[in-house]
Amino acid sequence: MRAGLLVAGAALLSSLAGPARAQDTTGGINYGDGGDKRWWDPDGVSNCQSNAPIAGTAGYRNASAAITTNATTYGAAQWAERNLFPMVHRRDRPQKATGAGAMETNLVFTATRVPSVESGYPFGDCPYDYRVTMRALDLGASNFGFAVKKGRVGLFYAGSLTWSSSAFANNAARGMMTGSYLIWGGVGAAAAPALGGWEYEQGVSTISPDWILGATVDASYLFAEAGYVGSTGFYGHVQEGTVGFFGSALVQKGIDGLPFFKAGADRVESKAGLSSVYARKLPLQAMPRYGDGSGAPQRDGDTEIEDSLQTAHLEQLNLGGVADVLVAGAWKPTPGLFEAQVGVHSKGYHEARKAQADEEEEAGLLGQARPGFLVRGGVVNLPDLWYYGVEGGIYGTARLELTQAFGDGTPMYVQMRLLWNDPEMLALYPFAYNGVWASYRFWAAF
Amino acid sequence: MRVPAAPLALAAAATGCINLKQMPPDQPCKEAGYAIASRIFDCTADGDLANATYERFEEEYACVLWDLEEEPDPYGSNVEKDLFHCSLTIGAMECEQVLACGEDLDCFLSTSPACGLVVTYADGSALSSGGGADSGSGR
Repeated sequence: MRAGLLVAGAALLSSLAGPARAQDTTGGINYGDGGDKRWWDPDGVSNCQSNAPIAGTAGYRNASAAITTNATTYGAAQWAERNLFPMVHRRDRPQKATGAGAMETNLVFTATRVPSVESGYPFGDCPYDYRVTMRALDLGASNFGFAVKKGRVGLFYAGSLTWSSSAFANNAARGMMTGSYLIWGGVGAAAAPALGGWEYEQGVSTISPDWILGATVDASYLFAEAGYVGSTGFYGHVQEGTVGFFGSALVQKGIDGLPFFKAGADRVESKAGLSSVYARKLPLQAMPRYGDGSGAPQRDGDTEIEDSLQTAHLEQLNLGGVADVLVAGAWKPTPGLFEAQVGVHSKGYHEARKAQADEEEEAGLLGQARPGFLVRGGVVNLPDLWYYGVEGGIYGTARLELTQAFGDGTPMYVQMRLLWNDPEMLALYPFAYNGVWASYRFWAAF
Repeated sequence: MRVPAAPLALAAAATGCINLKQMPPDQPCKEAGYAIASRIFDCTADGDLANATYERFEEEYACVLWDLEEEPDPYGSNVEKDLFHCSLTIGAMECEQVLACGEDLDCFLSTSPACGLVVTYADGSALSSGGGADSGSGR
């Protein structure tokens, strides 16, 4: 019975992941003239449903890197470190029962474009002049987790389901399928252990579930977590609670874990509002070579090579209590303006770092967003990164954030974010220009 | 709990109804240049050198354009299968080979006869390494 359920679940997830997945093109090439045209699809491109990514291209290399970054950034253990542990380690009430739960979905539309061969399968009307295309790669990550603590010890569980898919040609179908991922991704994340280590990979379409189950110990000013990660085995994490030094037995990637440097002043209060001045260094890592003729990435050297994007930022937040101005310049790899943005937000959306930390610690919400909205837009000037196949230039950028709080006694929050060419997104995926990042998050602490 | 779909629909709509793009005619050629830059970056740890090498590739070579607008002959060879072999073989070069080529871009472009299908010298002449534009007319 259990085996049958596993097979059924795996088949379902496979079918969800593979609407436009890579296929062997030797058996199904079947081009036409586009068939019945529609005003929204004058070339009949919606008929192109099956494709194979072309190895050796920059897009394929970028896709491989993006899939790895997505899986590690939103892997169960890394996500729990960022989202669960801070909410249950509360120095204001160390002896009381506390708990937290959260679920989150992140979607990146067009993380990169991958040169692909269209096979025309299963319909015969994929236009023949679309037989080689630039297919968008979409990424997704669903996370679910909870933690409870009584006295100085507690338990936690977190599950994750990260996936990638070459996108549907038609954005309406793409949106509908992505909506179904929101549901099944959450179910898959919650039930990740039941998948028994199953993974899926075909071309650039992948599904990777993971989970962690463990215990927490609160030794006053030292917090420790130990557990078992489904994909990698035993896990340990220790955090000093006053200054914030931490150590982890797993290598992290992503915003919080890349060899990332940031130093300066953060949200200093003045009559003008909140001022931040800082320098930042973001890594740009070299892609591995294709080593065995199959297109599989293989690294030659002993160490990972990296270039970096080095920028200086001046941010003036809370002008008049409701407006932001952000300017940044770059000196490496290409000197010049990097970012210029203006925004408006609800009152109280930003607070001074110290005030925010104190208040959020009392609520068990360290590092979480505040209720309200933020709308921000401007330009970002990307450098040429030819080794990624990226032509630099000035691109528009925008960000929308909505956070809603509800409930009495046990505060619950829902946050939605929509980012386009946002510097935070380009830090993770430097080749994702003109991509869109949508995220949805729910969390509660008591 | 209901899942709000509006932001996702907005995101999907933001880039238009159809997101699939035809291959730009110079894409196979550019991929060869990208692959050279990528290998140099990986093997020398010098991102600036990698970017500068790509820019030199653009100056010293010209792209053979393939717009794939003609209907393929179902009984003939599908030339598009060969268009990316050049970037694939360059992308598979070991660091020892990359360092041996150094600044000699012809050396990189000699790894596959298919390089001549997509790249010529800036004056339009075929690559000296053979497999040149004569064997593929472009479209």
